[in-house]
Amino acid sequence: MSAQPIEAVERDDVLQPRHPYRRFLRSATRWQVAVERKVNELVSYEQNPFYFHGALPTFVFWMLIASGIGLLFYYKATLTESYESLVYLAKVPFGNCIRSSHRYSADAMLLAIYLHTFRVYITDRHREYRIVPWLTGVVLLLLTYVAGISGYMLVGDQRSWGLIHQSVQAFQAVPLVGDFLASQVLAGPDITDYTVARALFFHLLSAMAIFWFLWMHLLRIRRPFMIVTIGIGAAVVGVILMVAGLWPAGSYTPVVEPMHVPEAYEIGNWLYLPGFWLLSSAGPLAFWGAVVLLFGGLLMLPYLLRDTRRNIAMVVRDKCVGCQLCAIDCPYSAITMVPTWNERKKKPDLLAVVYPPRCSECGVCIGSCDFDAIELSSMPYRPIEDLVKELAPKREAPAEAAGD
Amino acid sequence: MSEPTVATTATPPAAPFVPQVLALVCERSVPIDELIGPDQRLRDAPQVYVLRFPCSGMIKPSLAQLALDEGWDGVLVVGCAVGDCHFREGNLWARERFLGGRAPNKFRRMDQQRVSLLWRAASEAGPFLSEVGSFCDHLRTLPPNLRSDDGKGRKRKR
Repeated sequence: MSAQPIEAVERDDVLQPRHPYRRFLRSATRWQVAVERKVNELVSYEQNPFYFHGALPTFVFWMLIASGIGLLFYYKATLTESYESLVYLAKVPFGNCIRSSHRYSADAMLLAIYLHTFRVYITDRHREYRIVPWLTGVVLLLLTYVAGISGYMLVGDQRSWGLIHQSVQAFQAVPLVGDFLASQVLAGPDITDYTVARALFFHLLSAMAIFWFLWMHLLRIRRPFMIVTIGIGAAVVGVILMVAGLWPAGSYTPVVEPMHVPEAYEIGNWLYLPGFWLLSSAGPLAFWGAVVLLFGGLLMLPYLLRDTRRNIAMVVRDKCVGCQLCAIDCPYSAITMVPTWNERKKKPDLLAVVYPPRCSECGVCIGSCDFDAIELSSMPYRPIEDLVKELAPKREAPAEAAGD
Repeated sequence: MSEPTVATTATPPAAPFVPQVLALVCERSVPIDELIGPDQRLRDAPQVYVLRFPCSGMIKPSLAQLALDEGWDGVLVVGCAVGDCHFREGNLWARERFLGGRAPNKFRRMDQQRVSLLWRAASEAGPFLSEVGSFCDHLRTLPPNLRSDDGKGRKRKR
């Protein structure tokens, strides 16, 4: 038996299985899938929120867009009228529902993003060929924070003014460009109507930027999950509406003198605004330190462990018939079909071409090819077939089965 | 056909029939490297030879067909739990190909008695082993897979 097990010998999890971080990720994955399988037993796998962790933030984002459009009909972005317009909104039918669902959808979106981030990290799906989704995902998290914080600046109560003053204070602490940044937040030297308009601008701009980065986030994923199943969607909408009905979102005391820095205000939302608690209790340095630590740490996370890429798919040019099956089946859009001249058929044809940075070395394209025209570079299929032939049980047929 | 296709031996084997099983296993599903010995066979069931793949999506139905043609008594295809795949869609495609709904195995059929598809997560070594055991028990109720004969008295093409 000369055949060695050819599979996976050169892969890093075999080369360095004792790497402690790799071992940690591996056992963490095992715990995570164990939890998910338990959830599968409670609800079916089709309703398992862990399997729709990526679709959940997108779904909640659509709820935010819908309720935000509702708010735009009533909201007035001026210093005095912002508070009043929200008081008026509470008297409109479903006005409180629109506002409260906007507020709690924002919380749900951040929670869903953290679930998504955690799940992607803990199951080791954040590295290598997934680097672009991870990095754009960190930007998306930052943009979600910008949208949330600027949203709280729009309410027109004591807290909004506190947040604006504290942001100005934080930006002024930045060396060199601090005053410029602070004046960009204020849209002028002082708090005016333009400040509220600027906050609304940042609020909407970050929402639009979320769309742009979401596109980059999903660009290489061939069939992204963007929609949750009806069960999960109904549960999410139901929970948000229920919370919104039980604890409707409200404003704190309206501000009397916007120029005056409020001595103390309630943070109220510990999902979006813990940075401001840090800012008031420990100063701007601690705030920026925490921001850099959080987002810088998230950006560096995939670089802690690198794999050697040896198994990227290759197309055997003479065998490829241009049927597109591998390009359709590739989960990461790593295969494109390019026009080529087919020498055998003497006519133009298509040829599959692998774009290596997107290749996950999974071999799904090999399974989809009926012509053995695509191979993993260090795991060709023919030796596997030879091994199957060689190791097959050698039995002779009994006499009665062989004849007739 | 009148003449026997292979040399025949009159004496049947005295030992009880042990079905030889080829397991085509996704590395990301069951923790296979903890279950196999250095000879690439399951420690609990040494009649099961394990071939590892990076993803169940790489497993061609034609490979399972080849194994059956070559005389393996059964083929196990093991992938991640349905709904979850490390590479997003590998186990989905493998499942559809083996069940006969997706190219390149859209219209072909193989011996459904001898091929078993298992979808097990990385935490489920125990259920996997018990399913392997029950599959081997099931294969023991079938006659040995004879390489030269396709069950209808015709010689195989290979």
